[in-house]
Amino acid sequence: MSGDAGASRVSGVPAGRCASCGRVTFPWGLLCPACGGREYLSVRLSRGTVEQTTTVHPRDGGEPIVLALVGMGQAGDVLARARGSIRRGEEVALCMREGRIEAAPIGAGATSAGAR
Amino acid sequence: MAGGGRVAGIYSRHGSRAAERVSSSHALRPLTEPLLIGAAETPYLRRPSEELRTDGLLADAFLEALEAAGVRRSEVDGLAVSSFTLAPDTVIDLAWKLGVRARWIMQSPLGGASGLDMLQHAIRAIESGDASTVVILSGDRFSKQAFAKLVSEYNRVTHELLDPLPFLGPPSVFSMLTQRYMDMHGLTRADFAQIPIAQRGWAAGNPNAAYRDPLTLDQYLSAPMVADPLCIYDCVPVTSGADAIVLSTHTRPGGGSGVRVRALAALHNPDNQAGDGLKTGLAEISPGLWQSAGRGPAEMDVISVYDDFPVMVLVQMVDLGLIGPDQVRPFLNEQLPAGRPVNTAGGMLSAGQSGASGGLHGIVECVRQLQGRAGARQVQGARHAVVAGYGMVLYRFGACANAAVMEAVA
Repeated sequence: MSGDAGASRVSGVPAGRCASCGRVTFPWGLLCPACGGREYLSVRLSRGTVEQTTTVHPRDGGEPIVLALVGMGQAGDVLARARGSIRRGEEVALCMREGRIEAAPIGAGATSAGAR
Repeated sequence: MAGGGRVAGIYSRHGSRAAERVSSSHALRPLTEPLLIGAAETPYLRRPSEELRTDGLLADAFLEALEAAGVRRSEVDGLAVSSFTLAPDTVIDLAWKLGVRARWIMQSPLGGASGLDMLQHAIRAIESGDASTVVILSGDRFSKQAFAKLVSEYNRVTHELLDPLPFLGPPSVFSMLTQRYMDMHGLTRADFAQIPIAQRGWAAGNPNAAYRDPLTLDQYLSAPMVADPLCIYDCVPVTSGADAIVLSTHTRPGGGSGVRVRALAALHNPDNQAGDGLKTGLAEISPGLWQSAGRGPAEMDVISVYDDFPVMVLVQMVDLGLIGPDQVRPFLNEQLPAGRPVNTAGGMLSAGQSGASGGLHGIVECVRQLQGRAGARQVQGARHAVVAGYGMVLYRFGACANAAVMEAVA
């Protein structure tokens, strides 16, 4: 990882699409839950809808962290770090930044890269 | 619910199983009835001393349980354990260090469901003659570092997807489930407060509980938040401690009276983590469990449900039919304040969560209640109890669930 946060940002959350039936699963396992297929194709899910958010207070008194549960339709829900202000019911962009899943207001994800 | 009957996939002492085995062949002897005859729990410690180790805590619980059961170490021929911090040792190291010659042995990794998991298997071992006296143990000694490692490396998905957020442990996951449940049932934090408040009341009667002082609604509502809507009183205090139960073919003079397991059932990974997390495997196994037990929810004098977070108490109560889905509010605001016996040792919310011990804590309490050995918190005339286990958050919620219906042997 470089010092430039923007360099380690990849759009979308990695998920698996079953090569047999097309079912998208996150996080994906070993066999397709729908058809039992063994082979997955790698896909990225880049949009979702915020179902819930919470502010987590570290026990050591560090800065609070906002997490969001984001629904990705049939693929299920993803727990993401919130970037910027996001609200329940809002559609958000998902990305991987420095190894963690982030949810940001649509349009804000790419431009705010490296902003903090 | 009189009579009862055998349900496929569910352990039952009161189906026709035992009789069937006798009548179908003269060569088969009737299945032995295993009885729980002793239970023990060490104090749950917030700040364990430096020299205290997991195996030492397990040894303490082992000895106390043998004494409670009136059993000599040399009679023990089966051993089971669940622990997150025993590694690199396993159950066989423990057998060696305790001096147990084991004809049957097992280890369960199932956390909050490990106690009933081990009991499920131990019952069959005794019924089938593989062992005659089994001690089931669980416990953990946590340093700050050991607990952080457990949270971070709970499973591969946690390590890869949750730890980097960082998610800072289970409360963030359960805050989402709690919010969803509050919305579904129109509940407030003041409603939820009734669970930790009622359990703290029971903890006053448990000398081994980590927290025994009364908890007020004002204290709860002004407490520091952990992950909204969860405050510190909604999250189990991490403690170090151990639990043990003894299962055998018969009671001993000077030991505890017998407790029969009328039925036991489990359902793990019921939905591949695709559901909303507000229904456990218990919902599916519940009808068969009660039918197999020949008893109904209304007959339960004591209830132990896994309380890693208050929302899961409600989910299990509903899944097991102990309250109707539309009775959540009266359960919280009327039944609990009136003393309905749920988690009568204070539960993990007050007694503490000593890692895998959480999986035995509820069983230990129900055995003690049914033996009339629960001290200041004894539920008078307790004859029937139900225990539920839950746990193992794979990603968004726990995947394991099991339950047992127990009865004091007259």
